Amino acid sequence: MTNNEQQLDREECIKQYPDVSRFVILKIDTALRGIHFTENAIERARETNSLLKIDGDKFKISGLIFKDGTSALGLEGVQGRFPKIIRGARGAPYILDIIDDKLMLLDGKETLEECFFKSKPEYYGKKTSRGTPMDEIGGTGQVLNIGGSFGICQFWVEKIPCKYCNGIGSGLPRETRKGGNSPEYLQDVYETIIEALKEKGRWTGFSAGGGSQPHSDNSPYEKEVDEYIKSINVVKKIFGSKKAPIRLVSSAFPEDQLLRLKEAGATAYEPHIEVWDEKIFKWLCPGKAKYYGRDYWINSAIKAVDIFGKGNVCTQIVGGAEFAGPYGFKNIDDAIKSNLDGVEFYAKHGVALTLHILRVGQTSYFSRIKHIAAPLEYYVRMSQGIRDIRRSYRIGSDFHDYRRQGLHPDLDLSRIDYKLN
Amino acid sequence: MATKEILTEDVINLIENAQTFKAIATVDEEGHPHITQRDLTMLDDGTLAYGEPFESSYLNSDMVRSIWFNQSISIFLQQNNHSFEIKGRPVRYVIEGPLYNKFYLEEKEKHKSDGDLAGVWIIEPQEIRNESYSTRRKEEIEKHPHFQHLDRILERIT
Repeated sequence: MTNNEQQLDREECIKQYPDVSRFVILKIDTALRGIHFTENAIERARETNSLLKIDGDKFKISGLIFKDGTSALGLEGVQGRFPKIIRGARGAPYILDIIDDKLMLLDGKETLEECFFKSKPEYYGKKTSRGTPMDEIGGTGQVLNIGGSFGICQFWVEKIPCKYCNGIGSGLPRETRKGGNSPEYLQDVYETIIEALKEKGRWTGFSAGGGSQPHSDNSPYEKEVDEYIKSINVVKKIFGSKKAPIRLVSSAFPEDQLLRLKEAGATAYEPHIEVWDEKIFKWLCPGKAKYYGRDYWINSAIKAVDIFGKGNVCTQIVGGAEFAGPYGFKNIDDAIKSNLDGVEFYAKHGVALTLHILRVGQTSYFSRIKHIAAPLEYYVRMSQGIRDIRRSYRIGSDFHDYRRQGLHPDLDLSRIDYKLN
Repeated sequence: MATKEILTEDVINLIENAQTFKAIATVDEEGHPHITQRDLTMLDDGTLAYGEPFESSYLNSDMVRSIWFNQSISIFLQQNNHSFEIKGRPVRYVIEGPLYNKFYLEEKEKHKSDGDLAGVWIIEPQEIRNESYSTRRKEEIEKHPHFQHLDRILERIT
């Protein structure tokens, strides 16, 4: 891979790729470099009711957006979900400070963009009837969490997790980590949703995900599906026959399980392939390779288009992971070509593919081998390439776009393509 | 010039008049123009704002491109014999918070169960052109006397 001297910085990328929004390039760079909050910025979060929690010198906020609505990233430390992220030597963190009474993002002393905190949900601070804090369940953006499958990934249990993974369950409520959605936990979810929905104009969908459970008596991953259906039924209890958007970030399921989920009320489905190259897939995702191989994971997404419809099935690659390991790509041109071949393949079958920016946490295998995210330019080219292919096939992925999730820079670029789909 | 100074009293009156026809003109990535009716209001700082009901509208797509690439848009106001064009640029897209909530509730009030809101666009006016017929006619006679027909000149003399 290119060394640090050859890597384009943010301004160079903006100049080199004039058709890519500078906000999206900045977003990617905040993911790579992180953001440091000054005391003034923290105080502004408190004043604007955007501070979720303070615990000693640690604090949490809902999120940060630029003036066009794009979400900044690099906030893992202040969103409390993930262990410390290892970034490598690619530039000091950005700084969030107050300049002329405005919340501004700076690069060193250079003032870049005005930012805005995402507001704290109104249900925050409330408890369920059995005393569970609702903020441990619901979420802070525009999509409500309705629980995971088991909260523990069987791949981790068998010591064959995906090598970039920081550990499923680290961000999920403790209850789910006991294995399955207990009736008490589901009642907590029900009460949290009821309370959250009192805030009009905020929530646009539901999301469930977390941990693979391939072992079942009958069909692959059947027990995992059983748990998702329990979560979906909570939503059905509230919405009745009215169709609410429910997205699953899950394992790959065979057709019979997909049909069960559709019947239950799921509307969008995401089995992540993580990397396109066949050899790297086996090395990177040994659990997925074991249960039940690359073709199985690909075919599940393709079959799901017949069930959930085009635009409602998405997979993802973890950009930057494909450079690691014995089969890893040695340069970004080859990596991008391979990944975009995958994007095109999926697009021909009606499946969208999005880009996840690699985050190397202290608990992942990648941190042990000192593998970090790819250069900024790689993510800019990947984002543009993925978006261009999806656009040419008229495939959207609205359910986790710039505001419903805000993690994928290619989906940020797709905002101007909604009119086409 | 400060935003508040750009908007004259005539323009502000038109903006605040519910009977005024208001539309926004934009250009997409292919260079094709689009024009869409939207209700605009003026905020306290002199910027203009409107609630965008549709995330997937051509207008919204063009506004996103405009804020990304610092491009201008155009606003047209018309009421009786008064019309103005305001050249401006989008400076913020608000997707949540107190301003969003205000516009969201207004959409719900207007359209009841059909009401929804993608976001609120805030536009900074940069330039105004008075396109009222009488104003433009007077300007053209003064600056371009050769454009008028002789029978008009005769009609004015007699």
